[in-house]
Amino acid sequence: MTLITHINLRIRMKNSFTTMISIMLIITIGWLSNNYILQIDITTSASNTLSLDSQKALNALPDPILITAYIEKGQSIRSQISQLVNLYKEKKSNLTLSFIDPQLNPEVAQAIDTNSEGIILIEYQNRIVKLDYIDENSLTKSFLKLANIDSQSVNIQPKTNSGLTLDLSDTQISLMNFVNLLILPLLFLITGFIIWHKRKAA
Amino acid sequence: MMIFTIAIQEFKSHFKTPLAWVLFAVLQIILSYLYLTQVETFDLMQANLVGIDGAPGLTDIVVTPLFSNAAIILLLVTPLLTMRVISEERRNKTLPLLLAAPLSDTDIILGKYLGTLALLWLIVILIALMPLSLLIGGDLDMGKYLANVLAITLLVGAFTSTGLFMSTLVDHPTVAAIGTFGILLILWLFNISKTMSDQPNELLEYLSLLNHFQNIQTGLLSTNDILYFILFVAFFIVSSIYCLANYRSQK
Repeated sequence: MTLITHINLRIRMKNSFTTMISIMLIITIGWLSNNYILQIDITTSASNTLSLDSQKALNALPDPILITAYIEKGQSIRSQISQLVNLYKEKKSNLTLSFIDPQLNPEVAQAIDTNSEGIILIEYQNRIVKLDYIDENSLTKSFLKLANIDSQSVNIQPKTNSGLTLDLSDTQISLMNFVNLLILPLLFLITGFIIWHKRKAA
Repeated sequence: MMIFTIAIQEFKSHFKTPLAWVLFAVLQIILSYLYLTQVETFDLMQANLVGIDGAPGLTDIVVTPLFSNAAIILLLVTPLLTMRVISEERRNKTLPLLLAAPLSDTDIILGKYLGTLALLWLIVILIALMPLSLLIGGDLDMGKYLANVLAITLLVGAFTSTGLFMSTLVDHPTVAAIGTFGILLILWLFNISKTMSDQPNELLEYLSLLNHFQNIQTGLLSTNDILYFILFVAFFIVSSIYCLANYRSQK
């Protein structure tokens, strides 16, 4: 009895040790993967890739850039701004984005004169550019302005997405409705009923 | 090889009860309805889209929301499919028989995991086939479409591993289902810190399932997001093996 307890204890200790090592390995790989990132844009329209003009603008600004977005908490625009700025961050590690809720910091909001939609400040070498609308074109133009490069000639066109039209006839739409909403579910239900019936009979 | 034998057995066992078939039917009705509503919305707004620079396309308006909706519905459905995997064997007292067979704990857990995952991947195939019908009358951004398929494939892998872990941990299937749903919902909602705080918590942001799922959905594949799901699955598989090994040593 004592021998079995002893063997069980050894097995449990071995299990705990193996599990601990595995979890530590998982945490280490997780930490490494969060610090060393490789990315690839697989979209047909290359919607997640910065244009050459934007990359050139970033190269002209070697010092740290601070982007501060004065936007209320809970707004989905915050995620969209993060997503856009992350594309620039991939090319420039000393670019920082921070958010401030103007409702919670009224004195700051008053000082920078934000509108109801929010405002974005871009700071580089103590110089500031104010934006009330942000996309790749406006952000890159702000960077060029901060780098004292003429931004008038630059005009980054928004990426054209594929599939802007859908040409389906009424018959085709009806067929899609019929197959998806009636035929397939009915087929699954009938099969389920047959199985239930067979089990009941057995 | 024993892993695949268990996996095939587990996969077949799901189809021996009407539950899987009823779930297939219900999911098909709900997701088709949501999908066809999006198609109708696109049909109504397409005339306005043509003139707008950088306007969202068919993939953004129909495909991405379909996969986002599917993710939320699968978050509710997966616990129902995984709750019985181990806990039912425990309750029916058939687990000691399985443990007595010449199988390691890793074989049992991986076999059960792959068997259940195969069933969920069947659901993913059903969802992935829906938008392909749009190719009859329009163009899809195939890169973004494939990214969406990859995102949901990895997500159900993560859901299944959590469900398997809870099923290994507790005796009662209902408790396992509620526990799985709770864990997944918490991990899903960690994403709230991103928009609700001025200084989002980096750890919470990293742990959020939704965050990584949405990142892949954009079509920008990152090693960080893909490895997150692989490590997530590995963590719950390792924990499940530990629970089963503990159960074996107690007997």
